[in-house]
Amino acid sequence: MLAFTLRRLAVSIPVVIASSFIVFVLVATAGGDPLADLRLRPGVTEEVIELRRQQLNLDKPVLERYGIWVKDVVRGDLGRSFTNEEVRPLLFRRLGVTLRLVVFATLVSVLLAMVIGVVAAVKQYSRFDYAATFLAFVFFSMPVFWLAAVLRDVGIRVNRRLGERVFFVAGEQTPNLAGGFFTVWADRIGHLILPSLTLVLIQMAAWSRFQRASMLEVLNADYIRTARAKGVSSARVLFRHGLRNALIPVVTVVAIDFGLVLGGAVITETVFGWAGMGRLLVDALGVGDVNVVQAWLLVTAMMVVVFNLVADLLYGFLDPRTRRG
Amino acid sequence: MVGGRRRKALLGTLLAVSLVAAACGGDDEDEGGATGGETEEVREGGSIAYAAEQEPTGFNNLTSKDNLLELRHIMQHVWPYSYRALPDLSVEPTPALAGEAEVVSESPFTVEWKIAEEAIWDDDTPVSSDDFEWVWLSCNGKIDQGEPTAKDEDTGQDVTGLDCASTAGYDVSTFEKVDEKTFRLAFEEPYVEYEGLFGDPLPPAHLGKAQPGGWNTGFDASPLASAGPYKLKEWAKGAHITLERNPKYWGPEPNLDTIVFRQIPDPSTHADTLRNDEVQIIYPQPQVDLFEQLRTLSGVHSEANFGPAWEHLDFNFKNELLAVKEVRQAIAYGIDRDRYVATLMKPFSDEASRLDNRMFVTNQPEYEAHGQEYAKRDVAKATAALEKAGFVKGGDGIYAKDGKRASFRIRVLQPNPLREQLEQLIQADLKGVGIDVRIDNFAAPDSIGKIGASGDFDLFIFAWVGTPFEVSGGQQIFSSDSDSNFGKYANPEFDAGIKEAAAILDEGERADKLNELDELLWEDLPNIPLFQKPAGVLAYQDRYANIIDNTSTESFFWNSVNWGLKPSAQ
Repeated sequence: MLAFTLRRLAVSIPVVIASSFIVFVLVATAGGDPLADLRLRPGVTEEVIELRRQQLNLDKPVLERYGIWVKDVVRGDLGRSFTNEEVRPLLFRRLGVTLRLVVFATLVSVLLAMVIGVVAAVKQYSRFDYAATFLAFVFFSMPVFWLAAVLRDVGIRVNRRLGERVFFVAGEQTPNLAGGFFTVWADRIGHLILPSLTLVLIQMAAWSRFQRASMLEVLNADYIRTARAKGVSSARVLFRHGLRNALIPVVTVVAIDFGLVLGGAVITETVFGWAGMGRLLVDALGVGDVNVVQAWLLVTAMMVVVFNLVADLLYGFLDPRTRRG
Repeated sequence: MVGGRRRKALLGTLLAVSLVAAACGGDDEDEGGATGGETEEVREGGSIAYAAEQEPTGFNNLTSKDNLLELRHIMQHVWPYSYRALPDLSVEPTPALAGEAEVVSESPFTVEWKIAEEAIWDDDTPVSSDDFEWVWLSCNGKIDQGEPTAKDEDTGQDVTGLDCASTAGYDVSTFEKVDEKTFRLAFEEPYVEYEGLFGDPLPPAHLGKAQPGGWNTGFDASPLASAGPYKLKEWAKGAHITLERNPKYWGPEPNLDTIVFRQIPDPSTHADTLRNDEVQIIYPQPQVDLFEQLRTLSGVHSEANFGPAWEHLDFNFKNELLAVKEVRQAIAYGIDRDRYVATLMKPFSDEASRLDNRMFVTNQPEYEAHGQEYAKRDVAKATAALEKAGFVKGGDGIYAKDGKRASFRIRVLQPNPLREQLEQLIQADLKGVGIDVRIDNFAAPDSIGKIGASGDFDLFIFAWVGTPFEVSGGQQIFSSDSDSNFGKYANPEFDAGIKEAAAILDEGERADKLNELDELLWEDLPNIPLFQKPAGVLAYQDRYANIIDNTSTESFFWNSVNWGLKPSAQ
C-alpha cells in the first residue's frame, strides 16, 4: 500500500510542475498589463510606474520570473502578492475559510446523498424515488447564484418573521461580537447555514443520482441474488454486500469533487461574502497576480492529487480485490 | 481654530478606480446649508457597519500601491489631512489645520499652512511640519533621492525608490519649514490648486521613517498611529476593519464607539445585507431596480444625489470614419440625450438633467450649457452632416462612403445594467439615422482603463469622476499628450488654452477660460457628455441620525463624528 501511495504521488509531481509552468506563462503573458490602471491615474509618474514594475519583477522575462518563483517555492517561499502581502499566510487563511465552508457541506451532502440514493434505489419507482429524482434534477439544473439568492431571501424573511437574526447572509462571523462561547458558536453556525445549504443542495442532487444508479446496479447483481438465496438477512444484504460495493463509484466522484471544491466555491463564496479560495483566484486573475494564482494552483493541484489518492485507497478498502490487483 | 469655509472647489483625491476629471469651482461667498443644517440629538455610544467592496492593501493611501477609495474613507478617520469637502462642494480646513492656507507671496508664489497647536498623534507626538515635509519629500517626483528610504523586508537591501500616487503640486514646489507647526511651499509658477495639496490622509513621519519598508510598505499592516477621531482597533483580513474612538483626538468627539468596514465584495448583495441588519449603511452603484428595492424597505432611509460623476460617449479618433467631424456631429444630432435622462436618471431624482459642459457640472455656479446645438435629437441634421461628408445611404439603410459603412463598435464594462440599457437606446437612435452600432461589451479582468488605453473601441461609454482640479482634469482627458485621452483627440488650441488656464489665479477668470475651452470641445466633439449620475445610492438603517450624503471623494463619511443612534432606537 505504501509503495502504491508513493508511486501515485511520484506520478503527480511532473503533472504539478508542468501545470505550474503553463499557468505561470498564461497568467504572466495573457493577463495584459497589471499596471495599466496605474498608468491612467493622474499624477503617477513614469518613475513610480517603473519602480512598481521592478518591485513586481515585471521588468524581467517570463522565464526568468518563473525561475525565481520555482527557486522560492523550493525554499518554501510562495512570494508576495502584487499588494506586497506574503502569499503563504494569505493562502492558508483563505484555505481555512473555504475548508470551514466545504467540509461541513460535503459531509452533510454525502450522508444525505447516500440515504436518498439508497432509499430511492431500494424503493425504485416509488413516490419517494420520483420525488427524489425530481428534486435532484431541480437542484442539479439550478444556477448556484440563483439558488444562493433565493436562500438568502428566505433566510432574511425567516429572521424578520422571528424578530431575531438566526440566519446571516454576509461573511463568516459578526465582527467584534461580545459574548461567551455559545454566543460565538451560535453566530458562526448562523453564518454557515445558508452557504452550506447552497452547496449541500447542489452536491447532494448530483451525488444522490450516482448513489441511486450505483445501488441499482449492485442490487441486480448475481452475488446479491445469491446472498439472498442463501438466507442472508435483508439488512445485511443491503448494507454489507450492496451498499459497500455501491459506494465505490460514489467515493471516487466525491473525492475528486471535494478536491476541486477546495479550490473555492467561487459563486457561493461571492454571494455570501466569504473570503475563500475562490475569491482569491478570481481577484488574482483580475489583476494578473501571478504569484497568488500559482500558489492557488499548487494547493488545488495537490488537493486533487491527494483526494484522488484517498479515493484509490478507499476503493481498496471497499473492494479488497483492487488491493491485490 | 478652524477658519471659515469658502465656496471654492470640490476637494478630492486620487482614486484607485476613478478616472478623474473636471469638477467644481465657485465664488468666495460663505453659504449656509453645507453641513446639512442642525445636527439631530443622538445617543452616546453604539456601532455602525458599512459594506465595503474592496479591502485595503495597506494604509498609506498616498502610495500607488494602496491608493483606493475605500481606504480613503477609512483613513480620513485616522490620519490628519488639510482640507475636506462639504456636501455643497465647498471646502473647509480640517481640525488638523489652524485655519486656511494662505498665499503669503505671489512672486514667487508661496503658500503657508499652519497646523493646529493641539494636533497630536495618539502616542503624544505633535502633528508637525515634519509630517507634511515627509509627504512632500516622498511625492516631489525625485523618486530616487540618493539616500535609502527603507530596508527591503525580504532581502535586507536598501530601498531608494519612493512610491507616490501623485506628484501633482509637490513636484513644482520647494518646502520650507518655518517652525514645528508652520510650513510653506514655494512654487515655480502660480499654483492655483494648492488647497488640494496634503488632501489625502498623511502618515506619521516619526514612526514611518523608522519602520521597515518606510514610506512604501511600512504601513502595510497598521497605520502605526492616529491623529483623527478614530484609530484602528482590528483588521481581520478578508473580513473587516474596525475603528474605535481615539481618546487623544483634539477635534469634535465622535458619538459612535466603533465604525466597522465589512468587506463584502459583491455589491449586488449589499442591499440584502442591509435588510438583514448585518451592516447598517451601504453605498452601492446606482441601479434603478436596486434603488426601488431599497425604497420599499421598512426602517431604511435611501437617497441618490447627483454629483461630479458624469457619463459620456467617447469617440475613437483612430477610427478613420469617426475622425471625420461630420460623422461625430451626425451621432451627436442622432442621439436623444433628454430621453436617456428621462429613462435612466429620472427614476433616481427629478433633478436629473442633460449635461452640456465637460468642465463643470450642473450644480456648480460656473456651469454654462454649451451643447444646445445638440440638445434635441434631429435626424434631418444628422443625415445632412453625413451627406455633407460624402456618405450615401445604402440599400440596408446604413450610410457608407467609399465602400466603408458607418458601422461602429460600442463598448461598456459589464455588468452595468444602466450603461447596457443606455447603449441599446443609442443603438436604436442611430439606426434611425442610418448609422449601425454593434454592441461589443467587455468584463473583468478587462477594465475601463485597459480598454481605454489600448484604444480597442469605436464608441465607449463610461464616467469621469470630478475632483477640484478642473484644470488638471481637463488636461488629463483632452490634452493630446495625456494617456487618459483614450480617443486620441488632439487640438493644439486646446493644449495651449488649458495651460493658460492653469496659470490664472482669479477663480472667475479661470472659470471663464475653462468655459471657453468647453465651447471649443463642443465644436471638435471629442466626446458627448450625457448626464451626471449619482456616485452611489446611500442607504442606512433609519435608527441612525445625522448621516448626510456628500458626492465628493470625502463621501457620506465626511461628518461621521456626528453620526449616532437616535434616542428612540432599540
